[in-house]
Amino acid sequence: MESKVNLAVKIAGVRFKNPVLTASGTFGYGIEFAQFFDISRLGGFCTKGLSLLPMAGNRPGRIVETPAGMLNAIGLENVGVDCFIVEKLPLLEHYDTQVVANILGKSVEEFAELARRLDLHAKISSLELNISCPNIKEGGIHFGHDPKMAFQAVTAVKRNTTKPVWVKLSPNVTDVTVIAKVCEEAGADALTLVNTFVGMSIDVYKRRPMLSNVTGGLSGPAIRPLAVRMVYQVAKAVRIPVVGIGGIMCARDALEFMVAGATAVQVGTANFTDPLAAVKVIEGLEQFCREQGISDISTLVGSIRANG
Amino acid sequence: MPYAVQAELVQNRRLPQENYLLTFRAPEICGETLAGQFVMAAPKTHQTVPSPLLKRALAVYSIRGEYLSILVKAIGEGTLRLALMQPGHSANLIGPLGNGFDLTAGRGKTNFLIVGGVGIASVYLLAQKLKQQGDDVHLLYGARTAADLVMLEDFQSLDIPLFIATDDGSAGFKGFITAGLGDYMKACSSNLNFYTCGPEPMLKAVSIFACTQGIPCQVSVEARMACGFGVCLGCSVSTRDGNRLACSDGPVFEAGELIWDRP
Repeated sequence: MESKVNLAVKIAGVRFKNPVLTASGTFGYGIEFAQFFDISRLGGFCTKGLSLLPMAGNRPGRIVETPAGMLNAIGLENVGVDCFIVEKLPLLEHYDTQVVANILGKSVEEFAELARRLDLHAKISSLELNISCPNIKEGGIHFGHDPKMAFQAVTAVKRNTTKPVWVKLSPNVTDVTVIAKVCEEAGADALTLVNTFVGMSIDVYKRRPMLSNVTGGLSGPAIRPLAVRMVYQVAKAVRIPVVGIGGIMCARDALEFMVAGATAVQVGTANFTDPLAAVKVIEGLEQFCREQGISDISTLVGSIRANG
Repeated sequence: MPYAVQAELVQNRRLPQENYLLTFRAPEICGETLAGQFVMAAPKTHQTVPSPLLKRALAVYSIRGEYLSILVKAIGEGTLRLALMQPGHSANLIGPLGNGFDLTAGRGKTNFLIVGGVGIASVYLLAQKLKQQGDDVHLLYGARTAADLVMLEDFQSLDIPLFIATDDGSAGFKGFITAGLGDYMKACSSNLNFYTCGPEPMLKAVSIFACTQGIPCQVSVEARMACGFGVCLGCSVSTRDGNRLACSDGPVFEAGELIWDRP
């Protein structure tokens, strides 16, 4: 008889049945994917970034495909935290998966208020602070690049919630470990790395930017080696768990992040190319463990060996 | 409800001007597709990173039992990869997607299907359904040249009046379809209803014309999209109701809802 593989991981006391989550902004409010598969199979998912008030997002011309990836400048369009709580959250009640609420504030006070409103809802297992969205001027970018503001945002959120607090970091910095350590110091329970890289694409006939916002966030397999490197650096620099994200298309990609030091991973852009991508990653991880004689996937976390 | 399926290509018909009519066996999707809906399509690949990465949104051209056809004009990497598919190969399809045309608006009316170029792909099912419900249908079809007027014979066999326009005058009226629209209308009843699909400048012209004349008009829009089912939020369309999604709120909108002030 085949021995059972334990795929479960824990982040700040919260148990995920497997280390595969789906990324904020690529999975709607969860329910959209229930038409394709049983979302209870996921370790968890991160909601579309929630703001205090609904946001309309950027003008059309929001995405463009690039080699092995895509640029997006959606502009944080979302229904707002209250609508999420009233209309979306009840639909998730009977799904057995961890809901991570991704929140975005324009100020420390907004981050704090978002945390307070979401804290009352048991279905939400953790909060993920988006301090790194590159697409709107006032949206998070100061927090993601300014250690002092990141510290304040994390502290304020921690004061207003009993739930574990993850911080999703921007890769658009010189040394990602600096802000990672600051967030850890401020009490963050986990770090998500990475958000999208700022990029640009130009229509050479019209000589105009392809995106109405001029620049956008690059995601997809194109960024994976960069993301793996950052996860590796940060996992060595902090003691809190790291959640790896960046261009994961298959189980092998997810394993790269885990070996580099990620306790769990998020599948993002792949959800667009194949709505079943995350499920296939889970199945692939189980198969890999079985083939490699690994009984507990958490033993892979940070298991990278030195060259030599 | 959309299905994500692997569908085998049973026929790839090469048409003029880099157009291809691909026919897949896709029973689940066929069973539920409405006129004006679309699929997301890409050839099946063993690469973990498909190139291009994203599927392409393509209107369902026709349904025959379990067989679904899409009309593809090979203009970029994604459409070219589909066009190069051989029978026996499979594609990953997601569909049916989008809202589709409202057929009840056409009931008892003289329906103009006003299309430009590959916009023809969106209206064949519509023409069939309108004919089935016993309504009067006219096809007004504009293209660059006579050779670009693909699929005409399908509409001819539905026995519907045609008004053709080409940019170079190689067939029908010389000029944009919208330039000939006013005159063509005069010969028809005043009880009109428009459906339109094609390049954005044409959609804008038809919409404005319809709104000024007080003619109901449904517009099938096109927008770049990553997912096709309402989560990437990439295919935003400006409407009087705020930003809406071409994939899940559309692709069909009432002409009066759309805002056409893009640069």
